Amino acid sequence: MAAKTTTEKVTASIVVRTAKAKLAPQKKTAAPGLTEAEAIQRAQAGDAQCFEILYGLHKRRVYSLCLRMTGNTAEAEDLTQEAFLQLYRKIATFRGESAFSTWLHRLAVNVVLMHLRKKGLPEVSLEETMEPQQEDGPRKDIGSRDNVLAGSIDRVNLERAIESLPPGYRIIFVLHDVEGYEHNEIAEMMGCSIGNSKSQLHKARMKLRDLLKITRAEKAMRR
Amino acid sequence: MNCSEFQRVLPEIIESGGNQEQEAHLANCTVCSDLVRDLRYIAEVAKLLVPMEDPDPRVWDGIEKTLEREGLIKRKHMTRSAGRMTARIVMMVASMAVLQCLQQVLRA
Ligand SMILES: [Zn+2]
Repeated sequence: MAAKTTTEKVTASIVVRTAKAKLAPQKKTAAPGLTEAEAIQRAQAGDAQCFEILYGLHKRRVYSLCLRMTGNTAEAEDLTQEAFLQLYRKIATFRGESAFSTWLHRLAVNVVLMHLRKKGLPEVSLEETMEPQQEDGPRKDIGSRDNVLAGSIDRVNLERAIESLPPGYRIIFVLHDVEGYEHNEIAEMMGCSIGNSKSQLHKARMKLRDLLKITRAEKAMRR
Repeated sequence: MNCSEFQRVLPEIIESGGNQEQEAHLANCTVCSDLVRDLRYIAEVAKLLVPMEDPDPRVWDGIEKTLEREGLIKRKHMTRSAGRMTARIVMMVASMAVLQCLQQVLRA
């Protein structure tokens, strides 16, 4: 009975956002004998070495975010650079109300969104994805039990599938499911409604489900 | 409630849970419960994706150059030459001290 309620019910388990833990403030050691907080303070005072230390601490996360959101290495590098430049230009205004990593991350998301807006990509794909599509109908075609994905996705497959999502879907999926932003935060950043964010996320997950099933079927064919 | 009706409201209820009628459909429909299980599974695997790749070193080089140009940090070669200058001064002071010592020894 208990098992049935946990597996069958459409409930809050999806909301338990371990991804948020990725944003949680941590007491980092920036360099021997220097905490992250100290490195931030020194960077605020213009210490060049501490700029580099902070870059070293956060480059991987910021770059991964840029790469997942754009799906393009060159763009991700440019955007990582831009995000850190904005960080250093604004670092004196960081007052510590939120964790430094949260602050930096939000800044990086805005840099990426601004760039994508300039390219005109998300608007186009958001409109595209708002049009009624075949996936709006009930999913009777994939109803057989041995067809469920559970246990069959690995990290590499999922990364690849995310990469091949249309940009509009990809952005919402990365922000919500990978990075752990809430719909109200995404709506604010993207300038859309919460309902729109929810429906885009749903469509992104549906598209991923299809992509992952195709990948699995191709793998099975090769065997 | 049929599958179409259920799946139409799914984006809205997937995180917050549905009403009695929606939960009842889910409990009795394998198509919809498989769908929900897959979507939940995808979201759970996504949460486990961690940052894996570091940016190319040229990214930091670009940042550093721009920071230097904007005057936010001092030029590296400036600090290097300042270091060299300090080393020269130390050497000069040391050699003058040695000379003075030698002169004193010679006078004595
Ligand atoms: Zn159904």
